[in-house]
Amino acid sequence: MKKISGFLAALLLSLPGFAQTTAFGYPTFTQTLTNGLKVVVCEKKDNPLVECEVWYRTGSKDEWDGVRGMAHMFEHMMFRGSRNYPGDGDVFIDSLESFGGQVNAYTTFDRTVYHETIPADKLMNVLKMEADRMGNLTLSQQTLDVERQVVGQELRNGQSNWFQRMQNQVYDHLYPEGHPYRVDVIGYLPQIVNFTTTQCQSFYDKFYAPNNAVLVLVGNVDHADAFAKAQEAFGPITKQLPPPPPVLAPDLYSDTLHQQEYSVDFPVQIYGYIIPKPAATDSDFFAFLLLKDLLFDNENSLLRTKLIDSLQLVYALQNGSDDWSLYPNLCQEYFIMPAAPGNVKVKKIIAAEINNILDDGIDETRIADYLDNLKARELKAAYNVENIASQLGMAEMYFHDFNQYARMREKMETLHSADLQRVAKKYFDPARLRVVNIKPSY
Amino acid sequence: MKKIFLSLLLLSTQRISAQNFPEIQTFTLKNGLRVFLLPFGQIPSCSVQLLVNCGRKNETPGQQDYSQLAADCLGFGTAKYNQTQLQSALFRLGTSLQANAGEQFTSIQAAFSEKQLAEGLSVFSEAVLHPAFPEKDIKQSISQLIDFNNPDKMDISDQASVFSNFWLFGAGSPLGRYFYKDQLMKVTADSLREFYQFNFTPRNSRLLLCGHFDAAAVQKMVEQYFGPWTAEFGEVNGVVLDRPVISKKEYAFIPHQGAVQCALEWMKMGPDPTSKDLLAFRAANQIFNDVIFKEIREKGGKTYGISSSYSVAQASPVIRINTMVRNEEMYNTIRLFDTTLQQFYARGITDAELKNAKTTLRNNWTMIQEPEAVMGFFNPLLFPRADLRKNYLQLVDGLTADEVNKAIKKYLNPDSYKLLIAGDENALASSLQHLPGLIRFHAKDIQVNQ
Repeated sequence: MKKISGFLAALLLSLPGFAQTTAFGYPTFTQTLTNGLKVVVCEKKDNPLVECEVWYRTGSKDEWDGVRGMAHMFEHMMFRGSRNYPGDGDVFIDSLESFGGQVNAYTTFDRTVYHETIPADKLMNVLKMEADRMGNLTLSQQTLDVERQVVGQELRNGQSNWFQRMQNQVYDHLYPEGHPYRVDVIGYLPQIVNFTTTQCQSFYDKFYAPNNAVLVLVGNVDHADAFAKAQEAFGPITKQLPPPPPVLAPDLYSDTLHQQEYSVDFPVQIYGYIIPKPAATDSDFFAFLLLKDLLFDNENSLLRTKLIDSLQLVYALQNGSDDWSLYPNLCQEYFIMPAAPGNVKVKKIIAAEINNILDDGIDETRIADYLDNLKARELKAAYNVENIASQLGMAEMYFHDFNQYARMREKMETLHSADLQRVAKKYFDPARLRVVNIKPSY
Repeated sequence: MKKIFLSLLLLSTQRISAQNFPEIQTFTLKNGLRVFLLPFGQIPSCSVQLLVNCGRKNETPGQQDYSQLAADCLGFGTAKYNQTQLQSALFRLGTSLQANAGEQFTSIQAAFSEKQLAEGLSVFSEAVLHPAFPEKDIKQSISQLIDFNNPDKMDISDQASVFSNFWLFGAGSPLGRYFYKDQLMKVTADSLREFYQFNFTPRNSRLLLCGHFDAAAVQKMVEQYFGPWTAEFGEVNGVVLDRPVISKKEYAFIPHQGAVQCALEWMKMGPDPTSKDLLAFRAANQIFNDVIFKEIREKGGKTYGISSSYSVAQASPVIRINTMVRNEEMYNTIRLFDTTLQQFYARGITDAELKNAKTTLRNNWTMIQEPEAVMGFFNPLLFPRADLRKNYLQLVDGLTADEVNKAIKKYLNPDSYKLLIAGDENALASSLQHLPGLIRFHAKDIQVNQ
C-alpha cells in the first residue's frame, strides 16, 4: 500500500499545476496561462465531441457614441480571416465545417462568445484558429463593406417581426442616459452601415486579449493534453489589456413611476411590466430570479396559471430581457392579450398576486416544486457539451469562478418564503414600477 | 504495482472514438402499439415520444389545423387532471409536454429522470390517452390562432410560408389549405374529439423510449400504462397526395403594407423520402446550400441568411430556399440566385465539396448528444427498418460524385421553380414588373374550404 501511494503521489506531482474539481459529475480542471488566459477543461468522455468556447468580457456595454452596434458587428468580422487563415468569405466557418464542426457566436451587453462543437481529434485545429483571430485578426475595408450590409440586414429582419418592432419602440425610453445597456446590442443602422476599419481596429485593440477572455473546453479531452495545446496555441499572444475602469451605472432604482403608451401593428394589446433588477453579483440576485420565475416566467408560474390557463385573459407572457447582467438592469415582462377588452382586469390580477406575496409570501410547496424542476433540468442538460460549457462560462463571466456553475440552485435551495417576501418589498415597490400600455394601431 | 499501473493507464486513455448505435429492442402490445426501446448514454434520464401517423395530410376540407389543435388539447387536461394540475405534475417531474403536428405525423414528447420514469409514464399516458377536450381552452386557443395568424398582418416570412404552400399544393390539398377565422370558429370540442379518436389509435402510433433504463422494467411500465389503450379505429391507411409538378419559372406575390424588406421563397420538388436518390440529393442540397450562402450572403451581402432546406424529418419532398432582403435588392437577388443556380447546375461538384457534404451528413449521427435526437434519427414512421438505419454511415461514405451530380441534374434544374415574394407592393412595384406572368395573391384567397 505504501508503495502504491508513493507511486500515485509521484504520478500526480509530475503533472503541470492545475486545480481539480468536478462539474456536472465530470472531472474539471483549470489553469491560467502566463498571458492571463484562463483555461477550464471538463472531461466528459462519453461521446466523441469537444465543445470549445472563448468567452470575451466585452459586449455592447463597451461601445461609445458613433459606434453603436460595434460589439456585434465585430463578432461578424471575427469570422472573416486572420493572418494565418486568410481568404474570402467566412473563412473560419468554412474551415471548421470542412472537418465536421458546428460553429457560431453571439453578443450580449456583457459578453461575446465564440463557440464550436467539433470532433475531439480536431481540437488543436480549432485552438489555433481561435488563437489566431484573438491575436492576428485581419480587417479589410472590402470585407467590412459586405459584412456591415449583412448586419444591417440582420437588424431589418428584427424590424420585420411585430413583437421586435414593438420592443424596439419601448426600448428607446427604458434606460437613463449613461447606462451601459441604454442602446440595444444590435445598435443603430445609420452608424452600422458607416463603420470603418479604423473603428473596428480600435474596438479589437481595446477588448480582445488573452487576459480579457476565458477558454472553456468540455468533452472528450484529457486536461493535461488540453492545457498543453492551449499553451501552444495561445501562449505566444502577449497582448495585454489594462484593468477596465469602473463604470458607475446610473441608478435605475431612483427613477420614479411613469407610464408610456405605444402602439403595435398587430391585432393584440400588450401590457408591459418593467421592474429594476439587481446585477448577478448582488446578494439579492438569486432571490430576485427565483421570485421572478415563480411569479412570471416558469411554465408553472403564478401568473401564467391564473391569467393564461385558468382565466384565459392572456394569450402569452413573454420575458423581454436577459436574466444575467453585470449591472443593475430592467426586467421586462410582456402580457400579450386579445385586442379587446382593455387590460384593467389583468393589471388588477397582477397587482393582487404581488400584494399577496408582499403580505403572505409564497407557498413553500411552490418553491420546492421549482427546485425539483431545476434539478431535473440540470440532469438532462448534462447530455450536451454545449450546455455544460455555457454554464461554466457563465459562472466564469459573472463570478470569475467556474465552480459557481451550480451556485444558482445552491443559493435557491437556501431561500424561503420570507426571503422572497423581503425581495418583493424591495424590488416590486409600486413607486419603482414602470408600465407600458401597447394598443393595436388599427 | 504492474496491474495498478496498467489499469491507471487504461483509465487515463479510455476514449470513445465513435458514436455507437443503440441496440434497439422492439415489441408490440396486444392492442397493436409498437414500442421501441433505444438505450443511450449514462445519464439517468429517459425521453419518451409517442408518434402518431396523423398530420396535416389527414385534414379534410374544413379541418384546417385540426392536427395541431388536437395535439394542443393533450395539454389541456384529462378527467383525472385539469390543465393546471397536469402542468404542475409534469413541472415537478422536470418536464413539459411537447406536442407538435407536422405535415405527416404528430409527435408528443417528454423526458423524465430514470427514478421517476414510472410516475412520468403514468402522467404522460394519462395526458395523451385521455384528453378532456375542454371547450373553454379550445376557444381560447382558437382566438389566439386567429389573432396571431391574420394573413394581412402576419410577418412577411410567415406570409411567404403560408402562401407558398397554398400556391404549390392548391386549395384541393390538405397541405395547401390554411386555416382562417370563419373556418376556425366552427371548430368544437366534439369535432376535435372525433378527429382525435379516428387518428390517435394504438395501431396508428409508435412509442419510443430513449435513454438510460432497465429494459425489462420499462417494458412492464409500458404494458401497464399503454396496454389498456383501446380504440374503435385501427391503422389509418396511407394518405396519398398528388405530387406537385413545377415545370417552368413562375412568380407570385402577396402584399404586406409597410414592410421594410421582402421575403423570398423559392420552391422546387426534391425526391420522395423513400427514393433511392435521397442521400445523393441531400449531399447535393448541402453543397448548394453552401454555394448560395457564399454567393448571396458572404460575397453579395444581400441578406443575413439564406438557406436551401429539404426536410427529411418532416418527410416533405419540397426544396425551399428562403431569404429576406431589402426592397431595393429584390430583383438583384433574384438575378443573382438564377446565375448561381445555373452555374452550379452546369459545373458539377468538386472533390472538396463532396468531402464536406459527406462530413455534414455523417454529423447527422456522430454529433448527436441527446435522446431526442436519437429518437428523431430512428423515427420508425420515417424509417421502418431500424437495421437499415444503422447502415447510414456506410451509405454516406459510399456516396460518389457521379451520384451527387446526377441528383443535381434531376432535381436542381435552373429553368423551373416557383418563387413567392411577400412585401410592400408600392416599394416593390418597379421590381415586380420585371417578373413575367406574376400571380398576385390576396389575403382572402386562402379563405376556401376546398
